[in-house]
Amino acid sequence: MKRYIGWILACLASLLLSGCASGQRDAGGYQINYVNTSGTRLVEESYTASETEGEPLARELLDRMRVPQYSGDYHSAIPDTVEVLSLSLAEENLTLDFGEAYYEMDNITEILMRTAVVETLTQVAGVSTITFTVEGNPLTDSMGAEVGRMTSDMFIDTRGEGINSYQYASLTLYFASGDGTKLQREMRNIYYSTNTSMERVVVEELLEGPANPRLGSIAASSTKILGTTVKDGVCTINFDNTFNQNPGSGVSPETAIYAIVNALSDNCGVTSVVFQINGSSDVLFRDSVSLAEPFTRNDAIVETVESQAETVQDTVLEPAVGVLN
Amino acid sequence: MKKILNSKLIRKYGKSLQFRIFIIFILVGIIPINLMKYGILSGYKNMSIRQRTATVQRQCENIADQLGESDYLSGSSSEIIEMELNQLADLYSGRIVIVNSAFRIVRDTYDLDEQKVIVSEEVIKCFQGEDSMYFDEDSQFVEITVPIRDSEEQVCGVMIVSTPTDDILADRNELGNRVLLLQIGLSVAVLAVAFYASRVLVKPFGKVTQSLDEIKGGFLNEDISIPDYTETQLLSEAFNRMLKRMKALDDSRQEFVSNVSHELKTPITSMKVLADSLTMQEDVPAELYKEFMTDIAEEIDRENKIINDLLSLVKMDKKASDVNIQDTNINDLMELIIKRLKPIAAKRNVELLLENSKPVTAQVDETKLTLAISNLVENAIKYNVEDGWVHVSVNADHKYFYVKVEDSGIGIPEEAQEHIFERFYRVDKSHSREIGGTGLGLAITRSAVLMHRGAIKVYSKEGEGTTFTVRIPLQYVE
Repeated sequence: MKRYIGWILACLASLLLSGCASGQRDAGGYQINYVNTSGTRLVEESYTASETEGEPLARELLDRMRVPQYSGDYHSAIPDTVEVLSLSLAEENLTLDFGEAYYEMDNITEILMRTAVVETLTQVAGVSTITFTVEGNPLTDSMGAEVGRMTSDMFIDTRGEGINSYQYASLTLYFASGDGTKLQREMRNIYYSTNTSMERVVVEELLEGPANPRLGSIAASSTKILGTTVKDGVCTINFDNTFNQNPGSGVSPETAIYAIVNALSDNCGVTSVVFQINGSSDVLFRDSVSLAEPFTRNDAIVETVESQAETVQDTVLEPAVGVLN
Repeated sequence: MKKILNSKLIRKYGKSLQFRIFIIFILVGIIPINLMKYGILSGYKNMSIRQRTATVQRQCENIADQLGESDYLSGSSSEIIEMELNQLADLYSGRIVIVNSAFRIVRDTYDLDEQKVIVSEEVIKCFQGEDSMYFDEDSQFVEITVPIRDSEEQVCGVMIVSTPTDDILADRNELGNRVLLLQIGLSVAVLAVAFYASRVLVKPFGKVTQSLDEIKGGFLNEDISIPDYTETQLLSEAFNRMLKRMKALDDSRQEFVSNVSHELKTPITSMKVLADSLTMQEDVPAELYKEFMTDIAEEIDRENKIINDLLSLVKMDKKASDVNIQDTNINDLMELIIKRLKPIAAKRNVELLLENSKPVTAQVDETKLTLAISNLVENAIKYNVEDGWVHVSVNADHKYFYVKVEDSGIGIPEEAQEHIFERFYRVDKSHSREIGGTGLGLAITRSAVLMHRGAIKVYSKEGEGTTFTVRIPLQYVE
């Protein structure tokens, strides 16, 4: 029995490790991009290079791009007809010169090839940007615009997890300090879908509560945001009734209001905020503050003591796969 | 665990029809309610999202047409188009991204990704003519791709429209709450209905039990009738038939006992009379004593015979429990009977003949069959005239064998013929007493014949003679 347990554990461990390896970059390991058989998206394959940096490595990776390991499942992003005439690295910019056949590619093939090359080659140490030229002339896209220097973050490839991009953002948030009458700042890094408006993201993060246990949350985390709209710098937020209830953290109603206003002002450039509860502004918020008028930024309520160093937090909102087709 | 399962309570409820009906009602009521709830809710979410998507798509197609006809994608701006884009984005609290054929984002209402290149698979597929819809469950939004076609119907750009779906989720939850309330209400109703229905449905069976308990003491004069269900009515009727049979049986037993005591008393009465007359007289001569003692002895013999006959009759009534079936040669069996009875026949000068037309072997109980046939032959001899005759013949076909006992005796009156097989029945009581019968002979014969699954028939004419025909299967059937 003991023997079996040990054996099973060993198997599980090796499975876990192999799982980790495929997505990560080992020392000397790179992700080479290929195109799937139907020609609609890019596929990655890991590869251990023998070269370590600069032009030789770039050449090695480029060659590797033409030769996938499992040719049945995907093929090279660079069509056979397209030749790389020359490759040169100068001041962290890698320039690739292609033959005329480049312009014979249809726009889908071309864009996938360009994305694949940029995403593969920007992994090379010493390469920050990539420039394409065709027969010595700068590359223009199918609309005639010139394609200048490219970096990998100029390309949005969500790889099946939604259409629009996910992005990192560093937010300035405010929570109640000590006695609940003042605000303290807290920085937070989040990864969020760009489909969600920044205003909403900010308010959602505020509702989640502070990471610092000494700070107080401004409303119950079960509060629902019924809607947010922005027009001409005025943001209107509609909450459900839970917002009107005291979260029990000792925060005063005014402090709660200004936490939101200040945060929106800092992160979204909003000039004033209108609050609604279940669609109506005709509410006496927590029995003390009237919501009839818009609110503007209030710096006086912010404590100058900043606790930045200890409260950096990464909140990664992983996209869920829920395709309705 | 077993103890719990075996406990009386579980057994009582587990086997109870009322409990089973209750459970069935509950299941039939509650399971559909639950299925319906899940059906409604899951259908609702998907349907709402599809509807939202369709609405947004239609409105986008409007703008997409305008974009296709103008030069917007090549970079020229248009106030009208900008306004419409912003209106649409606001209307759905969503985001609109426009991609040109170089896969470059030329407009993003959130001002985030402009001028970037987007190669998401859905965008590429849209350029190839395939529209997509992507639903993000966690972040609660839906993205759709709308193709922008130029005047030649070629796809020259893509609109990516995303709109949040948390209001759909909120609606669904609200619907879910309402359905839950309804579900609870209905479930309570189902429980109540199940409880009462099961009680009411099972009542008639209680009535049946009650009626039967009333019978325990004796027999009811009235039939029981529980007409509530066909089933209980059939049950009542079956019980009634059974009770009738039992009553008939009981009656015949009573009759039998009274007959038996009557028959048993008769020889005893005679014995008493004879004994008394002896003791009461004085100086009775020895010959008188001898004569009376002989008479008493005769009565005792008679009593003995009656008792033996009764015993054999009761034995036969026991329904094949003591049946000893063997392959027997019927011809030999008959010869034995005739041999034994020849002296009796000779006494009365009656001719006794046996005719064996065929050799017959059959599966019979030798003792009982002998008894049966002997009775017939004895009767034929006893109820005969001087110089009369008795013919016994044996025949057979492939299924049965037949024994015919014919006599030239006094015959049996027609009205008596159907009663002769009843116990203690005698045609002419006074006459039979002289002849010395017990009244049980034919009853015994009939019993024995029936035990072999055979049949017995009688033909008789007064003054001329009687013929008894016995038919018995060659193979004994259980």
